[in-house]
Amino acid sequence: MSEQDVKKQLRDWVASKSKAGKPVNDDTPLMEQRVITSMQVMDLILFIEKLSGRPVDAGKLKKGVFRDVNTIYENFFHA
Amino acid sequence: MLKDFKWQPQGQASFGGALLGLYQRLDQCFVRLAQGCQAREFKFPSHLPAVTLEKLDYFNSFPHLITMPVTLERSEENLENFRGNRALHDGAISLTRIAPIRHVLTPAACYHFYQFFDGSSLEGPLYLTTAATCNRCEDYYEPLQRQWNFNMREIVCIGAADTVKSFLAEHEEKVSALAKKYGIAITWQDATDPFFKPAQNPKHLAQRLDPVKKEMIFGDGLAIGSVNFHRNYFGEAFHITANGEAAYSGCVAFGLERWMHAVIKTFGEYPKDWPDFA
Repeated sequence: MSEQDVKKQLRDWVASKSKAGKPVNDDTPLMEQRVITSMQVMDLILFIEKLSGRPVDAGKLKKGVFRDVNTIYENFFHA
Repeated sequence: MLKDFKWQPQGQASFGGALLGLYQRLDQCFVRLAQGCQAREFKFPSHLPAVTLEKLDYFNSFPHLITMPVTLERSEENLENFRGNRALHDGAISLTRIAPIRHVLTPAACYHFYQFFDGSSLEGPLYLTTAATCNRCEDYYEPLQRQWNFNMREIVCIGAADTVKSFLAEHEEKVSALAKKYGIAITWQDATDPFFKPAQNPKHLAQRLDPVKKEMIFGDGLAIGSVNFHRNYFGEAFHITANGEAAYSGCVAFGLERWMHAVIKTFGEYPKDWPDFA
């Protein structure tokens, strides 16, 4: 899957979960603006696992990895 | 041995004389900090309605910290039964029927503000301050460092995201300067709230990945205060809006007894050696 495809899927997933219904760009601060709430973080991890085909160890995740779509791509999809 | 100090092992401290003077000067020092942003001072009751805390998911996140005020169900028969069987057992009161518990003793000073401004549309940022006796039930207690009842001074900003972020950054610098001026050595550390069963709570994971709390750490790890960015969590929960959107909020909190501990640990137990915090 291309970078653009992955980012589109991430944007679409986030938009589908967002209560505010605001447009989601690749640099929208997802957690700071609570586009993704703390209760949805585990769902995001499951979605990343599904999309990347690789397991994510929640215990080893570092600060800032879910900042925005660009950051998620860099941390979980960029080879 | 501190003069004019009495400790109850259940986590309660009583003090007077020079210690009370230190407590008051510290609080006034933080009030002056609040005056720097023209914060309006408030005084709140000791209880918060349970429905307020339920809006914050407090009972799910922090059941281990809650302290509730209990009253007896008010029928004459029940009150007579209580009066007739009131012997203490190992220091504990034998209860008869209790009335529904609809309140919780304040666990954090700033919660009162979100309830107070519930439903408000803000035309500009709010800068606020209050001090409250807070209650948190803990597994163990230590004088001035970990108490069931302790006092917290908070400076709060509610408004647009950028305003709140600037307020917090500015106050982090001001607190660092203040601590340095008076010779209290602090460092800043990202922290998470003390969730019940943190490993099973997605909020704990979220706070670890996107820290919203920075603690002022004294000595070998005692948090004597914190700077907290709530994002728009309280704004959403209490329908407080700024510029037509859920308001953001943040607070700077000072544990007054813990600051007293930091002073005594740094300068010793003799009041003549303490800074004046003028």
